[in-house]
Amino acid sequence: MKTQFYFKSIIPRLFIILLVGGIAFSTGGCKSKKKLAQEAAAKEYADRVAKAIAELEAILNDDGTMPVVEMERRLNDIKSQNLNDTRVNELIKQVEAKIAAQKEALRQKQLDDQKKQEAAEEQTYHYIDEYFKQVANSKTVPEANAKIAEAMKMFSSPDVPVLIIISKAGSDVDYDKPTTIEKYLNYLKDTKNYNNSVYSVKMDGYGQIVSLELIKN
Amino acid sequence: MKTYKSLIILLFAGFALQGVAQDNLSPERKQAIDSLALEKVRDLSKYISLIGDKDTPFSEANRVIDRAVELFMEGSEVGVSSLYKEEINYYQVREYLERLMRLNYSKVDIEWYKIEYVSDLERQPDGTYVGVITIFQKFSGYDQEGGLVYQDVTKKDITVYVKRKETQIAGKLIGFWDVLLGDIRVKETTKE
Amino acid sequence: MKYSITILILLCCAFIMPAFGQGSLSSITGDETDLYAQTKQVNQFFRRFNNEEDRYGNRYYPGDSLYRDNAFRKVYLEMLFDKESPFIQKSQKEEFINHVADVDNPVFLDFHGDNWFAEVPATFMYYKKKETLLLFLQLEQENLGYKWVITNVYFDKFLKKFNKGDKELVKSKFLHPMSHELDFMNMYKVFQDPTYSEYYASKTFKPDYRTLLFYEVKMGNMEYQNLGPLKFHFFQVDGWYFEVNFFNRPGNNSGWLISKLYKISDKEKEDLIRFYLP
Repeated sequence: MKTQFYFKSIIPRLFIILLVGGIAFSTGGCKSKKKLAQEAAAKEYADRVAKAIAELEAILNDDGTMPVVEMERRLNDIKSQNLNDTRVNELIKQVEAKIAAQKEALRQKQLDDQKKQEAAEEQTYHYIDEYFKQVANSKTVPEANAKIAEAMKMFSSPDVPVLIIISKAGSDVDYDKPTTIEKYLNYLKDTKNYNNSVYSVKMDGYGQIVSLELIKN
Repeated sequence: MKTYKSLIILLFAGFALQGVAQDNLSPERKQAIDSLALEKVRDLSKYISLIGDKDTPFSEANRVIDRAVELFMEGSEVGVSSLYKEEINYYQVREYLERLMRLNYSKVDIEWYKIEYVSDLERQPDGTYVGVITIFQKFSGYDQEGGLVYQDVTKKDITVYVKRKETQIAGKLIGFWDVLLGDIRVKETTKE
Repeated sequence: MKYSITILILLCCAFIMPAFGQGSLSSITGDETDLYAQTKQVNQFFRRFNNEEDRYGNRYYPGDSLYRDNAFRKVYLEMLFDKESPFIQKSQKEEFINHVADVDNPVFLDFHGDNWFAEVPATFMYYKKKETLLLFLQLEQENLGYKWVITNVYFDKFLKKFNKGDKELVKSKFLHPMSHELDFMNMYKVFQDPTYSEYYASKTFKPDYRTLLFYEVKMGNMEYQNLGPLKFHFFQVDGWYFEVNFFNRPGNNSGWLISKLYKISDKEKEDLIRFYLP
């Protein structure tokens, strides 16, 4: 009964000694270094988080000087660090939203610019078409001649080639006999027939037309 | 030598194939060419109206004659016959237009009927396409008092030559249809 | 014999002017119905005959629903006959239309097909006298396309020089088989009476009137003056011959129209064609 008690009391005690002794044995040699390292890591992490937060906030506060590409690069850099910080994560979400919004705005702007450019070009073409129509619709010869003189100013020379597409089927493009702008304008005056539209225009450095392609309506 | 021969044969075959291929123009392309030919005839009719119009200044009429003549193949003629004299009188195109300009009426009205008949385009031995477009014209001549002194309706059968050509424009190779008018047969159909 | 009669009939009509409009429209109303109705070109005659265009002259292409449509063809074919012609019997015309617009076996005209000829009278100064002869032409393929070529010339002045002489006399016109032994001293007979000279030629001899025309023109004995009214002879419908003339007259039966229609046998067809294309 006594022996039994002895065993009962000695095993936990041994166990505790062993356990405590083991710990003491294994860590006892570099206990201070470890702590230093832990502290350094914790500090580094804290620095990184702080830096990330500062950067993310800077992105969020940017008034438009930082290009979207740069924002995206910095964000990806932060994301790759996997900081797993609540504040950082929250800011990442906000920055992502900002970047998405800016990208959309940029896309929209590009689209608008393109449309504007197209509209501008169309307007230029339309402008040429209008001149041709005015020459064709002139009531008198002097009126037509004045319009021709005006229209000629858009062209780099009276010999600017005018090509008229009569049919377009795949790669087969059929043209009428090439003419020059001077002849064409006089043709419009005489026949009062403008049944084409401007198809393409080439200009020189001075913005004067050097070649013109028309297509049959 | 043998290679030479086969080369020549191949070349000829190439030409022959090209000839056949070109003839198989799609109806759409044919229609585009028809319209182009028709446009040249309409241009001519506008020029004729301008040349005949007594209000057109002399210098303008002469310039328009030049433009009209440019529509034609060199040497083209106008063959005219009347209801009562079927013998054909021939005029060079320029001569015909100049006569029209100098007609001794105080006022001239030249009207064109809406109808325009376009024949098929047939190929001649050199590969050029040739067609005929028929139009009708009403001519009225008035004296100083504004009285109608002459009126006739003529049928005009106009030859149209169409040839595929290529040219370089600003370094770009352009394939175009060269449409030139040829002889015109003028037949009187009614007269007053 | 039969074919020479047919040729004669055809020739008798050759010089008759086409029926030019009797009088004229009293006023020009701007109504273009007549002009649309008129078969304005030979090209339109072909297209109408085959129903290859609509009533405004816009062409149909193979694959279009009405291209060569039989029902429409019958309407057009009816329009293509000169209604004033004394040479067209109503029953024959109906038979012809039913034949060419037969549902199972329709017959179409082919611009590039053989067996149609143009005939045009031409006036020449012949030894300082105005003479009219007939020129026959046909389309001929060459290289990339086609061209009209002169196939025969009919000129009575030429023909008379080669007429059939007195049959009894003709029988005696030969150089006997032993003439060579006498160095053909009898040759003078050939040229003594030129009326019969050609009977001394081999039996394959056939005068070529085109050669005579070109020769006389080259020699300056003949000078081209002018042309008369054009007509066309069609042999493209088996068993039939028809002639097409231009009728310059008001109304809706004008332009290029069939003015003569005959049923012909194969033999007659062959003989007639030989006249246009010897």
